[in-house]
Amino acid sequence: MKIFGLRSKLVMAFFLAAILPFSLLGYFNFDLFKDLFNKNEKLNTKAQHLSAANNIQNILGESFQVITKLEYNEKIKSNLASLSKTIEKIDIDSISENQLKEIRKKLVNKFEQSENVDRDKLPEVIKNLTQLDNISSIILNDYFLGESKGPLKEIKNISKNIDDELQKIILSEEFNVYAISKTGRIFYSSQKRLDLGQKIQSLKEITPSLYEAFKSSKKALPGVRFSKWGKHHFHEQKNTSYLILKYPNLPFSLFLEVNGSMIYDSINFDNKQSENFLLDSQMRLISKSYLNDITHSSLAPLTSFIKDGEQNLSEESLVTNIANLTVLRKVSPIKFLNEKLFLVSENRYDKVTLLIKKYRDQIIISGIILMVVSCLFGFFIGKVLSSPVLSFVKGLRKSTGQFKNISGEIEHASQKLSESTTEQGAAIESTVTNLDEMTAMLTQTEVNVRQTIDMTTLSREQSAEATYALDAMLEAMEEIEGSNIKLAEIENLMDKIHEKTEVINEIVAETRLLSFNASIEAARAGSHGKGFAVVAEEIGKLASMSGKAAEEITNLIESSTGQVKQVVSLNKDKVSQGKDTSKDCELVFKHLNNSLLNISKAIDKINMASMEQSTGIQHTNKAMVEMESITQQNSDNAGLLASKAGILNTESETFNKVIEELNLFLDGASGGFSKLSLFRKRNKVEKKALYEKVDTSYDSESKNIEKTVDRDDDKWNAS
Amino acid sequence: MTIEFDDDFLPEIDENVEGFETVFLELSDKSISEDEINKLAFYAHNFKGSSQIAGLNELAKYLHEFENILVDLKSGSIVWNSSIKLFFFQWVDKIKDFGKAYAKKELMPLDVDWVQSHHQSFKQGTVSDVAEVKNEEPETKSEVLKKEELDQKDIPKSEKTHSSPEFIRTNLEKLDNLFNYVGELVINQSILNNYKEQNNLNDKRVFETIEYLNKIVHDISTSTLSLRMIPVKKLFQKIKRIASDVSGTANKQLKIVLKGDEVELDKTIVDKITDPIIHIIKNAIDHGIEDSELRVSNGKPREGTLIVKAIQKESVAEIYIEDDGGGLNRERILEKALEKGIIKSEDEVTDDQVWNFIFHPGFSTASQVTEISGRGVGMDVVKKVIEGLQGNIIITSDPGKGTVFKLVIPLSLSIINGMIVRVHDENFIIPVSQLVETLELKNFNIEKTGKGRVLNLRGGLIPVISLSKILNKNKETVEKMVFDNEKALVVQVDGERISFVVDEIIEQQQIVVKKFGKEMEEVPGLSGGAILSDGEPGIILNIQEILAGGVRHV
Amino acid sequence: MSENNAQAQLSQDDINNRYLVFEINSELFGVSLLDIKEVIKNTPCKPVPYMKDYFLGIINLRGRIISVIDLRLKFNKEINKEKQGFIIIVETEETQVGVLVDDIVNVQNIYKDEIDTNPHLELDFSKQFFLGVGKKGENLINLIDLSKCITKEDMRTISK
Repeated sequence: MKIFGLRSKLVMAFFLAAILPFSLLGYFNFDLFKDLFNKNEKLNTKAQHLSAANNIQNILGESFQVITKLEYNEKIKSNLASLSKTIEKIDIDSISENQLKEIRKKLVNKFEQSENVDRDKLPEVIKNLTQLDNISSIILNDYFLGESKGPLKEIKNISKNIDDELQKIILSEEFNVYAISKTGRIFYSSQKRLDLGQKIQSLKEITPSLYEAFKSSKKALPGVRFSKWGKHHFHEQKNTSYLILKYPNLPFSLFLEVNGSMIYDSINFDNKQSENFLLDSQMRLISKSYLNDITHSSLAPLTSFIKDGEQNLSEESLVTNIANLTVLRKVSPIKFLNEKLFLVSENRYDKVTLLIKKYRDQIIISGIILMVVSCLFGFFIGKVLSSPVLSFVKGLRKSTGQFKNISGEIEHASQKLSESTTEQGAAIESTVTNLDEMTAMLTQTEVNVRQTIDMTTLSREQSAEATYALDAMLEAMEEIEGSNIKLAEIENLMDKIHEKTEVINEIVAETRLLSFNASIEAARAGSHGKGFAVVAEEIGKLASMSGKAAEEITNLIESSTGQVKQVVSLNKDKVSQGKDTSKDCELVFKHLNNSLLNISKAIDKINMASMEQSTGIQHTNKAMVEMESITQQNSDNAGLLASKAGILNTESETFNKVIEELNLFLDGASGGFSKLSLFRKRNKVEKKALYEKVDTSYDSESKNIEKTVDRDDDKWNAS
Repeated sequence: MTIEFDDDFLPEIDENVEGFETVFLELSDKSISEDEINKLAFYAHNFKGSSQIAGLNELAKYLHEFENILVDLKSGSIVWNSSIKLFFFQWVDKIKDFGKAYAKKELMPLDVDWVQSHHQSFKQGTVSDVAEVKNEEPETKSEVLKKEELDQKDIPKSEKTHSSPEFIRTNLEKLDNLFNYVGELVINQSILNNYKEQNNLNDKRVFETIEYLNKIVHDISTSTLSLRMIPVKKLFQKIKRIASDVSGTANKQLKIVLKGDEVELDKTIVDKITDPIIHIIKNAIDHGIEDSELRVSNGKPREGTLIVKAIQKESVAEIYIEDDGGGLNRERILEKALEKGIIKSEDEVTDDQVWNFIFHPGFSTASQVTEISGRGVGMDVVKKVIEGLQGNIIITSDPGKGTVFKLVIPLSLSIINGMIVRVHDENFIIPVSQLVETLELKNFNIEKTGKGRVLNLRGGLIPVISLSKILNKNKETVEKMVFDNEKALVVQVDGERISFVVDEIIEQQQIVVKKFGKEMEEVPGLSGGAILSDGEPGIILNIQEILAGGVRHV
Repeated sequence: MSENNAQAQLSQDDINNRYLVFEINSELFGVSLLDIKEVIKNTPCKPVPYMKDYFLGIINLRGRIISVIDLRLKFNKEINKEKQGFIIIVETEETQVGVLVDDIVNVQNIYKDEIDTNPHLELDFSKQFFLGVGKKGENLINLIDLSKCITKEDMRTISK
């Protein structure tokens, strides 16, 4: 109990006082609430059951329809019609158990009345249906009687079974498959035989050729795409392809799928009357007549579309029609009823929930208010009782606190001083060492600088030399260019020689001719011309020799010209390259020179600076030595101070203890001021060593210390 | 004995023969003058001497006998009459024949006795032989002619030289002129060479020298050409002699007038036109001039007049052969023309066309064939020859009054005045002598008739023929009716005026005519080649030949 | 010395054995030197109307007008445009005519024993002027009499 203070105790007491009645109230109502919650749960389950029942009823109803559809039974139809009408008239709120029973009876009757049903094929179905019937009745009963039986899972299984059976029924022995294009034109048909119960895994199975046809039809008929097939549902949600199936035993033969939702209509290709039943996405029959009654306007265009083949029916309207149809499809008389029932149950459930909520809320709110009030009250009383005492204690504490503060500060300060002087000493030492190092470095720098100066001078000389070399190169280039011109002249000469050889060729040809003419003349001169004939022959030979020589000259000239030209062009390239290079070099050297100059200047500056630095360092060194002796004095003084401060502290401690006792009495362990005592306990061990140093002559010592400290500060600032 | 045939003797023969003939022609029928006898004696004596040197003793004797006759004439032992004159002609003809044979290196026997017998008969005063002799003449003449023709064919091609050298007598003055010109040419050449040596060809004196050179060359060419020219005098003399012969044979009284014998023509031309002219004259005398009685009854003078006139025009010579006979018989000619199928009907045939029918081969209206003419193988040859010389024959006839044959012949065959025309892309030369006039086609309306295009020239319609088509040059099938700058050249063919279209007349120029080789001989319309001023060879067209039709593809 | 040998050789030669050998379309032809006046380069000819297609035209040869025929065309050979061609001036007693051939090969002696007058080769020009085939080493030279090619009937397309 010492942990809590007076105030807090009071608060707690009042709080409890407030809570108590409420909790008592709650305790006694606990069961009621629990019950309410449970009931909510129950209602939830019931609702689920109802929806299940709803589904079942759906299945049931439709199953009946399947069965009835197997044979065209007017009676059944009419019954069904009357039934639906009856259902419609049902009022949700006033539905009575009796009415429900009646409906169920009717359904069962219908079931029994179904004629021409192949009972052999439907044993399971019937069994399931009966079961379903039982279960649904049970559920319905439960709803009103508050009992729930049977898990949902079982229902699901059953409905699944029924579905399967239905599939089997529907899939008769033989059926035709027609493929129809978007525009309603048929482009494929085949007949397929299937065993009863055989599930169609995929369209591939039915009609591999159709599959192929469809595949190839992708090219042939754009827009017609192949449907993906589910297990045994001809169901596709995204494509816009179409499939026709004709069932000999069943009077439907057209599937029409538009833009995702499947709508089926039936056209009898054998010109029988069109059937009145539809198959929905799960192969369940829907009474077309029913739908017709309701949705005649929506369906009519569609049927006409299909009947007449192509029509200008826009896709949009088609889709709308079909959408409507889809919506309406979900509506069936029994389902309608179920839904209504469902609503009813839901309604009730909601009401209860609301009540509970209401009640709960109220209690909670009142409880909260009570708590708050009692807390406040307690708090108020506590305060009244303890405030004067508290204020007295407060004052005392203040002064001791101050006392304590001061002594603490002194101690702190002296400690600090000691530390700083030690630091100072260290710093001075390091500085001295640094200064020595710096001196050494400076000397080194000077040496380096000297070296650098020498090197730069050398570089400048060298760059000057390089510039001379470049100039020489340029001169050489120009000479090359000069020789190039000479080469060009040679080229010219060669061209001229070529011309002359052409002339020679001309002459050769003429000479040849001349030799022939000479031979002729010689011949005609008869015996007198014999000598001349020889001459003529010789002329001919000369001509051919000259001709050959001229040819050779021409060849030589051509090859030489070629070579000369090559050399000339090469030279030109080289020269221009060389010139460029030399220019670049010049620039580089200029830059180099400039940089070197700059470096020299900079080095001079460095030199000067380093010499100044040297002198400075020497001065600093002297000051450092003085500093050291002073620092030592300070350190000694600081120690004295510390010990005095310690003695002071001990005295204040004793005083503090007494105050604390009083505080504790008033406030308790949980008081805020206990923090301080805790804090003190922690530091006590650490400080004991220091306190023993301090003696009684506290005041004089502290003054001394003050002075010393001031001196130190000044000296430090001076350096 | 063997005789050496000396080519140098031939001119001797010709000269003397000519000399004789000249004198003979001047001889009147009535008397002979002493002067004339002396001349004859002079010739005969000289000739006798040179023939003896040449070793032709028979000829010498032949001449000697002639001399004897002359002596008697002089002394008066022989009385002159026309038969003696005739005899003289016969006598000199024989020498001519002898000369021809001598040229072929054959020795023709000369009948000295024949001369002697005539001498005797003259002394005695008998003339009966003359007629015989006369009759013999044509035969012998024709015989000789035939012989000559035969001989011509048998000339062996032993040497590749042309026919036996021909000679010409020329004016010494012409030669001197030529020599002078040549001398100046040489001087000019050396002057130009001098400039060339000094490399001074831009000096203006060079230009002057060249100009002078041009003049000299021109003079030389004219001069050289003129060397070939001989006066027609000789021809006329021949004409006179033959005319008197013919008139005698035909028993027509005739007066012969010769004018313009100083007109000069190229020797070749003269040689060629000699026979045609003689033929025309023979016709004129034979058929043109009427009997004396008929003449008188028609109010004409008894003696017929035959005028042969030569006039020199710029580049042509015009020779008129005019008779005052009865003129050409239009109806007869037309009849014959229709008969021969030359024309279909008598309609629309002009006089000019009618007269030209006589040039048709085998055409003769003569009812009987005389020795002289009437065989109808004369006029077409005449025409051919004249036209072959780039000449023209134009006939005008006035029934009852007379007939005029006008021959237009270029002066020289070597240089002609040529009109250079362009047909498509080629130039041709047309001798100016063939042209009548030139027309600017754009000033004329070309009309299309059944026969082709015509234009109206001063009232007469003349056909317009495309020269390019005739020369097989262009392929255009549609004839142009409207022209830009084309010109038309008008020629006279067969008495008809025809114009032909050329693209352009380039210029008129003195053209040096070069003969084509024999291989081009029979190509019609191409009368020769020429070297144009740019050194290119040119073709001279004989338009009349082309336009006269009669060309057929081989 | 070659000259003397040649001379000695020639002293045995007769003008009658000397032939000018020329080429048309790679075939060799020979014509007796006696028939030839001279040989000149091919020059453009001025065409003449009314003449056959192988009649090229007339040229001015030192002031004389000479007709030129294309022997290649006359022999129905193809014309080799690359060859410059030479004109042989043939002289007959009547006239001189130029004859265009592809190339002049040389002047040769062809002796009578080298001439075969009964060739088995088929030639497409008439036998009128075909004198025989000369065999010189590997070459066969067709010997012809050019003067027979240039008759006046041969050349014109029309006549009077």
